[in-house]
Amino acid sequence: MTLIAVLDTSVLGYGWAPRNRAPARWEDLFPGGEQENLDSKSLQAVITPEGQSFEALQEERERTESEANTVSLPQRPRKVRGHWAENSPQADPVTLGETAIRILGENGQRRFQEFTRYQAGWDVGRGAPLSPRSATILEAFLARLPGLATYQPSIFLTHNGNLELGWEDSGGSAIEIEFWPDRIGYYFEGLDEEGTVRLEVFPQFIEKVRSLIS
Amino acid sequence: MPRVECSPEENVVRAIHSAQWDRAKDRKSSAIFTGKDISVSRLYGLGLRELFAIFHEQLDGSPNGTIIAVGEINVGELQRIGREHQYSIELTVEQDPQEGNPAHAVIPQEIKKRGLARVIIEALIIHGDLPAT
Repeated sequence: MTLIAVLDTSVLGYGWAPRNRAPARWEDLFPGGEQENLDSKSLQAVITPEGQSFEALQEERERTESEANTVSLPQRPRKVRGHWAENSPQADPVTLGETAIRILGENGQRRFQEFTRYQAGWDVGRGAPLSPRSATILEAFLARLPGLATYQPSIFLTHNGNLELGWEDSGGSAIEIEFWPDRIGYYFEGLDEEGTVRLEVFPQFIEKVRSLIS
Repeated sequence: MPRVECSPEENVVRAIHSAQWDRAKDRKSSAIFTGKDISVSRLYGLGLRELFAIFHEQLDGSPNGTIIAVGEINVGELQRIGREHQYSIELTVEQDPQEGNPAHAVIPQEIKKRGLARVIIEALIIHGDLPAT
């Protein structure tokens, strides 16, 4: 199963509707759930409460990551600089698909490969290793926004072990998107908006970003 | 024992890791200045060359990337930026000497806003890596 398929079925719990088909109704995609009260111009309605501490987010990340690895990513030893890492929490070697590589370019691909080798404490004492689940979500994001290649986004690794994209919109304003295992952090300088959205509104978030780059 | 606050007249530097600065595209991530207990180093007793030597000591030979630059900022300027941001925050820099880095200090407050972090990053005076003598 591809990474994107894993995201579609394991993370979001449904399959994505083909793009040439009419969008499915919300209740078809999320049976038993109500649609988020989402402002079409702003994603503020689903922002994670600011009061949540970094430590709480870290604990939640580790728990989510652990569950994800157990469910969908088979454990396998990982080779680090010629020898096998011991007690590594990593599962399969994390890789990106063709679309993601095309969008990120040679420089982005090289940076990503470096990130996969980082160990805990990589930034002079702080810094979690790359989250495989973050890579999965990044890949799903890029697969749905092939036009982003025009903007030549940069890829970063945050202290939380999450991948982050950064680029400028057509007006030169910065856009940053951090891919958490269970949410997406964003900063849209041109709109003076920043916050965090849950993965349940991934499709709407994609549309929001699409509107900023079209 | 409470840590001693650095004076607003002092300058400090923040190490910039290769993961957070895409030099090929000249973009920096706000992650450089987000989070809690952000590490900085005082320019007091140690020069840039000595600080880079410390960072090399910690990272060289590991697969963990490199410190490619440091960003210098005046403590008073950092505090002014925090105070005047739309989501105002009182920032301090507190001395936190460590065995490997006696000039180490931290910003104990949690900087949550990427917008604020980006303003701070814009204010940094960037110094590239210096070769050891």
